[in-house]
Amino acid sequence: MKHKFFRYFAYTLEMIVLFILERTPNAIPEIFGEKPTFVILVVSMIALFEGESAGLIFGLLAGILLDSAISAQLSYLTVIVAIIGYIVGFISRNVINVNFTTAVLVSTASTVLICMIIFVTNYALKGYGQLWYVFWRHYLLRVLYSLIVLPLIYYVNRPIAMNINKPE
Amino acid sequence: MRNFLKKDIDKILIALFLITTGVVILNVVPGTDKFSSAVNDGVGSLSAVLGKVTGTVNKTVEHKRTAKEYESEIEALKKENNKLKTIVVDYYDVKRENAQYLKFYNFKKENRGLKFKPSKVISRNLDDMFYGFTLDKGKNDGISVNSPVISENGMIGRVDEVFANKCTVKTILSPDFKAGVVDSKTGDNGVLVGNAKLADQNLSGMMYLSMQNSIQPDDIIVTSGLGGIYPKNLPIGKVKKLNYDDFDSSVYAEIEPYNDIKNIVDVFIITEFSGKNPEGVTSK
Repeated sequence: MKHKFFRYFAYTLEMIVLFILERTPNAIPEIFGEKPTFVILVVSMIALFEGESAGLIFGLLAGILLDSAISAQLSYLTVIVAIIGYIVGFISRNVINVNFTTAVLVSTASTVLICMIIFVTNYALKGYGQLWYVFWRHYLLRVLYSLIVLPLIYYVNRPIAMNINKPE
Repeated sequence: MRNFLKKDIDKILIALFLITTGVVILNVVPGTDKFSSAVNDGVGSLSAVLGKVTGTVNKTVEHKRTAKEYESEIEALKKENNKLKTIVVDYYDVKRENAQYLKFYNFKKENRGLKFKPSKVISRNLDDMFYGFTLDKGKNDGISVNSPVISENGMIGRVDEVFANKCTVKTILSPDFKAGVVDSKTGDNGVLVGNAKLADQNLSGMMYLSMQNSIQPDDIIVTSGLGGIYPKNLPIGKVKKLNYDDFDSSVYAEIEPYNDIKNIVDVFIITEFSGKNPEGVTSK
């Protein structure tokens, strides 16, 4: 129980720090004005290593952080990211073996899915034009940048999951 | 008394007394100026030396204060320092506000019916590619939806949502911002509407131009005041170039705003102006 508390505490700290880094101007380098979405990657990794309930809880936290940044109020992202966290956790426990390759595939899929949802609700449904331009220039670029930093997020979370554990 | 003057020391003391008395008498007696000035110089030098010695001793004694005294002096100096820092910060705030008001004064002279509230940007929506932001004024300050947001350089945007103590702003780069505008030189009318491609270059677009327009680069674009949503003659920016729309080949002008929309901090929200339509725009 004690080890689980410390692991979850480490994950929470990691998520908040990365969220602050993501949202602070000039904190990390931008590629054509875009930054990676650390928060979604962290949720995927936690769900992969810890399972459904951790995926749900940290998905909720990530959703709240994203909603606070985008619309300054609780909105659909809180629910959607929580559900995706749960699904990733379920997949990791019942469908796949967790290793670097599967982590990359699952995280890529969840990042693409959440970015698509944000694109559709934040831009496309509002009736703005130039959909294809905005999609590749802003959202796809954001996803690609996120994938570049994905190995770093994996190798940060793996030791937390493996080492802060009950000795056998 | 019998034994007095028998000892050598007694004899020396008496001799000294007699010499001192003699010197005093000679100092006072007229005609002995040289002697008395020499004596006085000697005594003066001695008193100067004694003064230096006592002064040094005084300083040495003075420095030997207790640690507690030093601590309380440091505490008092720190409090005074903090007070002075607050005053300095207030001073710079007031100075900056004053400079802003001064720049805005000429515009206010031309629009006497204008009422506005100064406001500060408290946060930016980093996901908004049109650089929307939140201001520190809201319903409690008399702000309403569609209130124009300006700076001393010109138009910045309009209020989109209003809460009790804050409001969000759509900038002139956004497709949600639509305003009737006119070229101040040629009189050509159009509608200012943003889009993503132009916003990435920090530009907005003046759409629905006539094919026979006479707009030139560097022309100044101002609000037309039509519809009573925004005051008339509010500067927006200058024409960068004319272009053709991708879909319907209509002409539009790329407008470079006078304001640095991405980094603006201090703004004004117009709450009242002459010619304002009391109903405003009912839908975005």
